Amino acid sequence: MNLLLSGYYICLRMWKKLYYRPIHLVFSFIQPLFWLTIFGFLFEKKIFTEGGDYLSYLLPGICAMTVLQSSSQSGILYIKDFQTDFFGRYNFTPLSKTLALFFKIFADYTRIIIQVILLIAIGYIIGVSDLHLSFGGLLKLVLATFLFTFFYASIACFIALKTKTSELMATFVNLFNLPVIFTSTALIPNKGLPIWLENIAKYNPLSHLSDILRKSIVHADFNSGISGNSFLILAVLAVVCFTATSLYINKIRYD
Amino acid sequence: MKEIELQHIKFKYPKGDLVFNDFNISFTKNDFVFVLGANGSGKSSLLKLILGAVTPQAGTIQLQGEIINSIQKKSQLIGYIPQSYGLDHEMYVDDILNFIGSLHQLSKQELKERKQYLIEALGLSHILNKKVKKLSGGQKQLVNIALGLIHDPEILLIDEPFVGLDYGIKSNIISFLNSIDKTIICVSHDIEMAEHNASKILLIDKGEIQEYRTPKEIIDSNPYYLEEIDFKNLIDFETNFNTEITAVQHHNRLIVSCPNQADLINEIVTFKKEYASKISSTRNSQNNLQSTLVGFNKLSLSEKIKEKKKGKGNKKQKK
Repeated sequence: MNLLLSGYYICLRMWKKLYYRPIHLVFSFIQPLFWLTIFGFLFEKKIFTEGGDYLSYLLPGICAMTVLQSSSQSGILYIKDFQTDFFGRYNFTPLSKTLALFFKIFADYTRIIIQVILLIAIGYIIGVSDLHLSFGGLLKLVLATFLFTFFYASIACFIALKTKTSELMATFVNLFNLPVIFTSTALIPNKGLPIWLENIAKYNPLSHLSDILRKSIVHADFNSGISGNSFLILAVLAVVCFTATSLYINKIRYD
Repeated sequence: MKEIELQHIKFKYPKGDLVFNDFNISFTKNDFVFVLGANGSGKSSLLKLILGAVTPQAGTIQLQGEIINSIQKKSQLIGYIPQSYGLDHEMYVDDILNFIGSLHQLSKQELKERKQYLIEALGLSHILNKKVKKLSGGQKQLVNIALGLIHDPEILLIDEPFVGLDYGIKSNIISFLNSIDKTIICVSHDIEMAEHNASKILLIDKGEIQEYRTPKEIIDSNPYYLEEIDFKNLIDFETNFNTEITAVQHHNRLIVSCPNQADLINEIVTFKKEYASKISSTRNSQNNLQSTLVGFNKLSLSEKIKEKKKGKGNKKQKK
């Protein structure tokens, strides 16, 4: 019970930060909305998507992109906590560092899943008509988002814990996020990519997340052209990255 | 009973100088020890060693008779109150107490009770619903202390709790610390606070113990008289006091001390006459911890001035 109480207060800290500064949440919607409207309507007639219309293809991709962008922000709180020495304060407590990391990323995940659900609602409002929401589909969406968040947020937290500076964190976000997006099938189907990029996109974790989300919420049967069991790949990545970050956080002294 | 015991500690920071070499000390249960010493003497390193934030190259540290390596166990036993406050400025005081308390694995009921006790004891009720960034320095220090004690530890390590605080807040903090039955190790530069509140004074210089006794024992064994002379401006002067007198300059203050009161008065009268136009005020004290430590040359108040004087001495020698 005490562990759950710790988890609750770790999440509450994150939720309250969001509540008192909702501007972060508002801004996190602006970019996906731009992508969905401008990019979507601009390329609707240009990009051929096998099995359905482009907006229906794009919406799950934008959701996946949002998961990526939001997960990459996960380490920022650690950097702030280092700057105020608050990290040392809560690092010197009996709560397992692994559990504390888990609850922290879980709190991020709760924000991200709300963002994804709101984006789907916005997609429906602006005319993505091929949506197919079922209990099984939503369950897949929730699980895939959970796995991807734990994979990418763990990397972001690792970089934050290692560098302790916001400049290097920003470099990571700028350096990796866009290449990951453009070498995936989040925005463009695999068939529309050059051959060399097609091979990268097949294995890009964002392609796997986009594919699961597409199959979960859209009726059309798109052929993304990716290979392997997407859930398994995301699960392995989540476990490996979370374990690595957890091992690292356990090594940090509590001065 | 020995609550904390450090044996044969050898410690140096990576790429740093040796801080402790064969350092031995023990703290008894419910001791209130003030650790005094100049900057770089090893005071904070001592706290970090006990806390486990740094590891000695040799020697053992025992808490309640056993060597504890697990953070889980150690953090239950020790409460740490850092000099830098270590607070999240965007959080509310109530939230921060709940947050840290829950990480200490307190149950909902325990957390409620501990919070209630600390709110009453430290007078936090009017700031509970304030954000940390809206608090004054004194209020932040009270929250800092509450967080260090939220899990009711048996040992309390405090780093410079009185820096920048007004007399009222200092008095509140010290009377609260005196009221709790804990083993307290407090690193401080506040000699007056140490003299009136410590059960023992630990005086460290360059990683070695100079004194470890009660304030009264230290004062009685080294009676000294002291005169503080404040100048209007920072001035350079020659002092030709007799050999029994120790003079230390700290910015625009000269602290002169001597084991013999009559000698001190005689010497000082001449000096004051010479510099009368430049002196703004003078104070004298006798047989207190400050006069003893300064007079006995156990507390270096200004390393820079000492170095400057050393430089001058060399010049004189050359001449």
